[in-house]
Amino acid sequence: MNADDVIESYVHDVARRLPSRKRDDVAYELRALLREDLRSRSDPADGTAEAALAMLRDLGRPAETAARYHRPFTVIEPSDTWSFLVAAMAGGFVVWLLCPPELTLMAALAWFGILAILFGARSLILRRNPGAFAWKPRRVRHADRVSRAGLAAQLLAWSALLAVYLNPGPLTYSDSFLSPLRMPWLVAILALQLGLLAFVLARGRWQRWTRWTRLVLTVEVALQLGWHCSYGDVFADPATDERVLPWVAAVSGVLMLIAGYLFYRELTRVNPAPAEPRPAT
Amino acid sequence: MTVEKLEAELRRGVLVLAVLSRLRTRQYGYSLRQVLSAAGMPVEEGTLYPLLRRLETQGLLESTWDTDGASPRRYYRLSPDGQRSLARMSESWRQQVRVMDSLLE
Repeated sequence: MNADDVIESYVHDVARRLPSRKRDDVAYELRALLREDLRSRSDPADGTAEAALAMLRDLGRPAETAARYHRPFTVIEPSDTWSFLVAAMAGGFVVWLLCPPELTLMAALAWFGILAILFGARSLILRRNPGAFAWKPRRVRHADRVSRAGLAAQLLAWSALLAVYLNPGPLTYSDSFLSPLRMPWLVAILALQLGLLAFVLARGRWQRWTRWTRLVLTVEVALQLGWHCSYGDVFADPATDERVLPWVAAVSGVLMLIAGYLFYRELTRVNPAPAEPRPAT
Repeated sequence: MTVEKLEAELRRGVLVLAVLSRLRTRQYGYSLRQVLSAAGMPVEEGTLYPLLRRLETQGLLESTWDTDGASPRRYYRLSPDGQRSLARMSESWRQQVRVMDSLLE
């Protein structure tokens, strides 16, 4: 392979990435310019294939050079990468929670495929109409301020879960489940969660440690419920296990989703501005 | 390193004006690089050649092929639109130089 062959190979790799209307013209010009560039170098060794390769490597990969001639189509706009990653991970998490193990891989791949199509369509629309998807303002909710009604509802929901857990009505727990290694742990965690929510309700605002504690306790409750379901032998009557445990597993899944949402909010949290001093009166 | 990157950014900002200023007479890609380099503004070929195509697409340059010599050359020169743009950008540049001089004093 001589220097002209090396240049020809480079020009070909650049030009085939360009739209057909400018492909031949750019190739013709680029080939002539690169040959002249190489010939103009003073050292006779600069005319070798090695020198041509070194010159072209300095110029950049063919894909990079082609991108300078024509902005390539991107499936995911660089500015949308974060949204894509969040959507991919959130969907993957939901798939992992809800799909039977034998379908998890297929469902996850299908989700990633759907996302690629949606983001690709968005990218195409933006390329043709840069003004599309204009930003719109929305009200920012200050997460530190407690919504008393919301917190009271949470307290009620967790209390209900604890009450049902302690007193399953006409259903009877198995001896295995009542052993100290199984049932009491969740009671302790639920009690901690209730204590935390009562504390936050009294304080009137969330703090960093209370937010993270709520997150960890929510994950812990979800894991405990999931563990009960997978271990089985919760009720004295095996038929009751079959009937009730899928619902418990669903509660565990919902709690994991809530925990995932809380975690995402912590990761993307914007701290409120410090309070401005009030003007003296 | 950071200062070098900032200097490169500064040069990139004035590159279009520099290129337009040298295309009052016709030049092809390689000769234009030589002219700019001799004037103290070296430009990489990977930056300059696509820029010439872009300026032509924007209507600021006109080009013609010359295939008489040993190797074919595409010559560029300012179009009427390019001449008007150069005049306007030159005035804008001089104004910015005055502003920057007063800021840097």
